[in-house]
Amino acid sequence: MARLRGWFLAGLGLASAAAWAWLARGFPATSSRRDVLTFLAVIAVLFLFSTVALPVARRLPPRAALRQILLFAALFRILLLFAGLPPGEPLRDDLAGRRVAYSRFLLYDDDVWRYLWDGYVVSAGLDPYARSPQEIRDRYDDGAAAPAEEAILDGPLAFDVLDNVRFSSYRTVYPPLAQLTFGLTNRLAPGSVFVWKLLVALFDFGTCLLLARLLVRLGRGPEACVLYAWSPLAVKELAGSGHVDAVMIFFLVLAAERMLAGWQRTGLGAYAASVLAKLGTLPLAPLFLRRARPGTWWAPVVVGLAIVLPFWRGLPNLASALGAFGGDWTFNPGPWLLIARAFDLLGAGDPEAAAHLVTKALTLILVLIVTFRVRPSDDRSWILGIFLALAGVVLLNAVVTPWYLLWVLPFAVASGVRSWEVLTALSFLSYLVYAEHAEHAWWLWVEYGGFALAAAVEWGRQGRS
Amino acid sequence: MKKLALAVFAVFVLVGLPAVASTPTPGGNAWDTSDPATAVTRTVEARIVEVRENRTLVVVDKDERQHVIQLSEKVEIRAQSKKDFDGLKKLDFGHLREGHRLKLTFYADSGQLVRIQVQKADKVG
Repeated sequence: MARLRGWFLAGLGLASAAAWAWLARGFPATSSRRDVLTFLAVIAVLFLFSTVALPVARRLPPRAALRQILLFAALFRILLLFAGLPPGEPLRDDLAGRRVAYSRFLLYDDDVWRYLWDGYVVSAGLDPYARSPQEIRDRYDDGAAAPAEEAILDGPLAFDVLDNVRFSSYRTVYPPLAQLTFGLTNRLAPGSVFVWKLLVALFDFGTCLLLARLLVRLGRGPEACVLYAWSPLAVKELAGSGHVDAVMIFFLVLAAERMLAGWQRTGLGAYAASVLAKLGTLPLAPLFLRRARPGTWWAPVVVGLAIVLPFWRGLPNLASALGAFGGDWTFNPGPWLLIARAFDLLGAGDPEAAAHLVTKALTLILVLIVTFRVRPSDDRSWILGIFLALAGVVLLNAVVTPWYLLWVLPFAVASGVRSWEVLTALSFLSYLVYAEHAEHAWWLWVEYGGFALAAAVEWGRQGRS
Repeated sequence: MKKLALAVFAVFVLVGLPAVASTPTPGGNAWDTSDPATAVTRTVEARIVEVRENRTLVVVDKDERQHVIQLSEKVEIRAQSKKDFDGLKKLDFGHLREGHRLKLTFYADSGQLVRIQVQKADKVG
């Protein structure tokens, strides 16, 4: 029977791999309604496979189950490295920096070009926060560029990378560790989408391994890591679209795992790295500090300073760029929209600004409540605290891009909270914007309503048991 | 603690629902309908071999296949670098010459051409 279950799990993995291979290489991924709906349908099937995989894996010997889960997790990520490379385009052109071989959109996403551009700027020794890509382009065109800027744009690929950067008049919002990874890949292969995605996929696969360890430390079966390792959201957004969030998630899960292992200095250092890869984890600081001995608090300071030092002068510009991003952007919002609408109905002059203020205050209150409600010495309570605080940070934001939900997913899996998985699935509805070119209320209803329903059902079940 | 976590979530999202009553969302700079950011586009590179009247170009692609393109008035023509056109960024059809290397951007679903960009003069490859 176990042998049969093993084959069934392998069958689910192979079927998923076939679907991912088709999405990466055979699917046209245009903005037509048919393509977007096809994409959502395939993703829905992949979610079904990953959900069915867990009970199957639980009935297998743990080592055998984990081996299969990780093998397929690696395969899915390898397949998705090719997403966005049109059929017939040679990968060697991308690797050799001869030309831009990938399409602008990598499975309905084009953030990768900003990372590649920042990589050029950092590896040229320039401050990435000083000027927007458009400002550098204008300085070049006007003959006012610094020699290093001139050298970038005189290169064979940089102008084509720059052409693909969306919102190029905005300065970069990616913190120092993200910039170091951009610069590193630029040194290895300037302008290469493949090399960048490979780095992201390695971090993401590392997260799968760490999550399995974290689950063991919590006394749970490591096979539950399938909910992250096979998560269509993780595979699509990280290996597929190349989001830098993989770096932050890796260091955050490493931090949590090391803290549970009693390696507090390493844990705090990894936590600092996660904050400096993407600032979304900053509100977790009180939770980490409360768990650690005060004698270890110097570790994140040292790690943080070492990473920040090369970018020290640009930090005020980073802060102002983040302010512009935080003030100007909304996407797929949930509770933030409620508050903005309420202020609108009340006749507030600037309902969005008021909503930003209130949601920031609510986030702070939530983090403080969670920090002081958790029992820091209780591993499960502390991990649940991370899940709760980070989920609040994400849900109260004006921008809830689907990949932000991945910050929370490892901790939802580690806490056994399944409703978050429902939200990660429903968040794909936001990709309808590629067919409709505007957000519509009904998919926000379905997304957040479906999540609320799942959370309520889960809560009810917990209460009964 | 787990119950508290789930309760807080349920409250967050359940009270959020009544607010989501119309579209588009407030703010929303990133997804403004006038911004083509959500329209999937593709680009191909080509070289002009002949400029004809009536806004018609004959180009060859990287595989040396020849294509005849008639540009509608809506197609935007740009220089990749202003340096090549005496400080001009926006160009018109009259600026196009035989031998210019172009980047043609079109909507991936309809194939409709949206933009032509004249590549930098010293661009390799």
